[in-house]
Amino acid sequence: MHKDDLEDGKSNEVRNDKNHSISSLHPIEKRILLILKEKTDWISEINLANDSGLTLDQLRRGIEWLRYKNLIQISNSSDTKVSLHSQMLENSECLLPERKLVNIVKDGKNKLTDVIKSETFQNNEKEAYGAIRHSKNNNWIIIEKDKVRVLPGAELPSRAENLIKRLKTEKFIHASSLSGEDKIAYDDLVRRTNILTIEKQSEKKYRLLKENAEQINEMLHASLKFARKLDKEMLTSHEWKKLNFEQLDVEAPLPLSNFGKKNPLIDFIDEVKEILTSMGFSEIEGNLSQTSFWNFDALFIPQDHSAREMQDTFYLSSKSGLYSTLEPESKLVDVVSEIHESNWNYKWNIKDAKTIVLRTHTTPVTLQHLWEKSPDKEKVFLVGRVFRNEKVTFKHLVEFHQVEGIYTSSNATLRQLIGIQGEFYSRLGIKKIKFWPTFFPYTEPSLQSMVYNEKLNKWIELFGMGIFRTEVTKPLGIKNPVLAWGGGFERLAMLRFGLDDIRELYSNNLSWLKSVPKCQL
Amino acid sequence: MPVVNVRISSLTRHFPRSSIEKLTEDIPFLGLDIEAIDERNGIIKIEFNPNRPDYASENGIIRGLKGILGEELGLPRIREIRSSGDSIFVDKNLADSRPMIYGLVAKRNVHLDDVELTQLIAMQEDLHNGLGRRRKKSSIGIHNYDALTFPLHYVLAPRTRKFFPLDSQVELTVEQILCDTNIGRSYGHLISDRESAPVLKDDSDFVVSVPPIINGAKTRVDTDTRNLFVEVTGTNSKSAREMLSIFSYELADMGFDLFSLDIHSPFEGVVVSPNLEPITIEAEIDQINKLLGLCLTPGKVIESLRKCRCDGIVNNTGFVKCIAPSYRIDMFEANDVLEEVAIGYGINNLQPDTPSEYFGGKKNIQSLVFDKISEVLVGLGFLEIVNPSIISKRILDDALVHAKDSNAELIWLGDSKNSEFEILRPSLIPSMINTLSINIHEKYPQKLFEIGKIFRTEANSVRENWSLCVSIAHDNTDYSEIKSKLESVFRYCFDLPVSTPRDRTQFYLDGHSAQILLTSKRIGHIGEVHPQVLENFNMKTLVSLFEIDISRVIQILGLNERRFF
Repeated sequence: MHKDDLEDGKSNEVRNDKNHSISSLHPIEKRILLILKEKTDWISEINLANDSGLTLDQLRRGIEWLRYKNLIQISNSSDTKVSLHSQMLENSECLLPERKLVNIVKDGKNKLTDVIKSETFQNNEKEAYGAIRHSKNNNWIIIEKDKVRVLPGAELPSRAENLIKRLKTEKFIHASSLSGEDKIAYDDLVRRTNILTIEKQSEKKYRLLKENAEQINEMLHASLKFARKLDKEMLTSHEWKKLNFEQLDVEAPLPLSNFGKKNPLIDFIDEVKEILTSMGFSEIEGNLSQTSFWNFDALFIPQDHSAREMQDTFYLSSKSGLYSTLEPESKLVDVVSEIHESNWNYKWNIKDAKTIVLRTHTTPVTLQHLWEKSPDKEKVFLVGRVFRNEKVTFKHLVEFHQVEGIYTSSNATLRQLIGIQGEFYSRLGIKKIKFWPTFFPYTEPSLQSMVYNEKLNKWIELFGMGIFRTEVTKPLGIKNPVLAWGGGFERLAMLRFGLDDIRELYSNNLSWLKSVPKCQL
Repeated sequence: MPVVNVRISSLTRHFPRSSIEKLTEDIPFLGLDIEAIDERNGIIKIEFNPNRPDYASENGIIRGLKGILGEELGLPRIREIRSSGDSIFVDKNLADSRPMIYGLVAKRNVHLDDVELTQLIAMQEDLHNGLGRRRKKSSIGIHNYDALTFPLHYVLAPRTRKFFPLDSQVELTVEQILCDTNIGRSYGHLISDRESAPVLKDDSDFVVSVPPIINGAKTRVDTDTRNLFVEVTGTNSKSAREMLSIFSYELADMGFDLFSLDIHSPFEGVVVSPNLEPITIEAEIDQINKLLGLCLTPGKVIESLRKCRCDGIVNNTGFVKCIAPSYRIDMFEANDVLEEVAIGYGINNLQPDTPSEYFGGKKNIQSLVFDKISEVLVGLGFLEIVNPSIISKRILDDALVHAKDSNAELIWLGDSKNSEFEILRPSLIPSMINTLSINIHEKYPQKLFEIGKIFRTEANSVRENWSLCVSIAHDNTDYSEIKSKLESVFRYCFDLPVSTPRDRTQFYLDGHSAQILLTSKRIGHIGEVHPQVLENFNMKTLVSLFEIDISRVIQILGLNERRFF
């Protein structure tokens, strides 16, 4: 990917000066040229590799450079290797069917039917008539009524027999070296079955480009005074003053360096933290495991609320059992239970409140902060993991991050909450937003923010917000209104990183982690 | 969230002066979400929030929309409810099962049509699941009034009681319904008594319904029905009354005249049902203005409430008395009135404002420490990964990182939907090696780190500590390489040395691992990962790593407070 990028960029840049780069030779090029200089004729790839001691890879690279510099000639020849078919080699004399026919007739069987029935042809009419056709063409025989008569010409070997004889001694011949009668015989035999075996071969051959011989000599000579690169020895011995340095291929793309990096998601969380601290919010932190009391009851969520069921919430257990005594907050527990019973008209059960869950939102941490500090005014936020017992899909995770903030003051207003959200989005670079009423069990009034995605041309639901219900704040000892906002962080991250699948954020695919640009504003 | 289908044709009939585009822009300002517009079937799919079950029908949504658009203001008008003269007698034996029953009679000269029938059933379903908590708190039955002989008797009957249930050709016992039918199996657990079940029967001993399971066949409602009898039963009287309220307004909107019943209950005395007495809540006008950040006149406050289908009365003490229809289950206290005012005023009319009070925002100290550690690790060439806190027991076992005798310290998740999510990780190592194993096709060397929480039990509570895991994977990594990184981290972060006395664990290669001590207190461990672990994760190269408890480091070094000197 990166390599392609680099090559794309190339077209806009100054091209390498060809003449300049030609003036120097790479050691590989030098070795190839030194060998080619000694040969007047073509040299094959294999021989060149053997003679130069280069690997085929090095050789091919060197050849490529030299070709580009127009110093060598390359011939790409293909040829056919011809040898006798295994069936021909079965009879020691390598006789062709037509010769066998003549021999049968000579032995006395001149009746056509007898010839076909003979041991040689075994009633194979096709083969027999083939032999007859070739014999006739050779002027070896003549057919009279149903009899075969051998002509004197049969004493002479045919073209085909001559070629076969040659193949028998030479084992194989290159088709390109055939000429005259042999060539005609080959063209004929190659069409017949089970007589010849042929094998296609291709071969690369090289030789110096004669016209540039002088230049090559010069270069070979000059390269002795060329250094590939500067080294410490050259520097300290002052030898560099006498040297020329080779021209590098300064445009060639190179592999990327290994590097360390923060996780893109953490990086983005940091960016958001920075925005929030600059807006006057201070960071708080708290446990991922919470009692049901803090996760639900303290938030005015009735005990039979569907969100509290196992299907939606992870309840935790251990061998010896997990629960909280709710001792430190026992007074608060009493007040909360009373509020539940009077508002929701049911019997509140402390046992349910003592169970431990993985927090389904970050709000219990905010509540604990308010309860511990009972501030008159405060501006705090947190970003942390939350958990839902859901099926993992491209848009749902079991474990994800939430960002949440509150502002409490005797002067806090709903319009300020809208203002705070607007500023947050605008600092992220989101310009167009609107707000709709919605519902959360623990805020009243409750709003949801919609942001306009210019790329997708549609409105997207982002953070929720509202003023904490007095049923929530009063028991905590908070008298002033608490403006609260928050929501899933990954949705924001998906928009930032252009992902369609939320799971990608946690796939820990190293290529992806490295590919997310560090500088995105 | 539940969804209601609203016909575009109904919208155009009720709002002839508004285009559908305009209406779809207005609907969200009622707190409703438009899920989809199905133009082919002429339907808008609208999601409503669980606090507003009165939006569980097309009529309910139109009722709200008329208010916000100013077409019809204030409390929804309903024709006077006269007594039907009919009664329901409640058996005192129901005290422990499903004691509450309310009802109404609705009469109309026109037959029910198919659309209305579908709408009523859809609404009934939504009410059952939400407000009724899957029929537990309350459930509703709709019957053909004309098939009944009053008074009705709500009794606890034996499970051997036989009757013809809805849509059945054969007579079944209550027991058979509970055990052999789908509906019985879904809701049978709501009837706690093993021998008997609540049964509503008419005066001629026909079974009207077995709440909350099924109705009898005799009172079946279809397109020949004109007059309806509606009963709501439940374990929670508030929920049951609210459910009947919502249904009353729905039927009134459909053009029915409503008639009341007398409920003779040993628990509540004689109750006239339905009771559509509105809810009244007082709120201070100054308080409303202060919290919204507005200066609304009392008249404007009342106008805003009326747009939300409530009424308002202002007296001279600066309070507004908000009168809300009885179906507004979400109205508890003054802030609820405030929300109605905000919605009636129009959320999009609220101009953003900025708090003027100064606050100096800062990150917490722990985040700062993590930032610095990350920066040093990034400088050393490490890539940060993020893994879930929840892992499978399998990868914990494969990593051999957890000794069997400390299984008691593990924290398990109940009823997970995915088998990979079983326990809270007691160490970052299993996920770290897992990450390396899914990246075996990536370029080496791989140098990774993660900062995350680890969990173990402490008596009956959960102990959460922040942990740092740093790992190196390539063909030649060894103890010296990883130890050099460990020392670098402590030197560059804190200018402190760590000591590393020899340690033996299953997880590291014997003789190539150590504990990590900071000021002679144990903070972690380091070593070359054991080949058995690498094999378990199908790793084809070597891994060295260390894990340290940063919460402990912060505590030892006293970093939990910012100090300049």
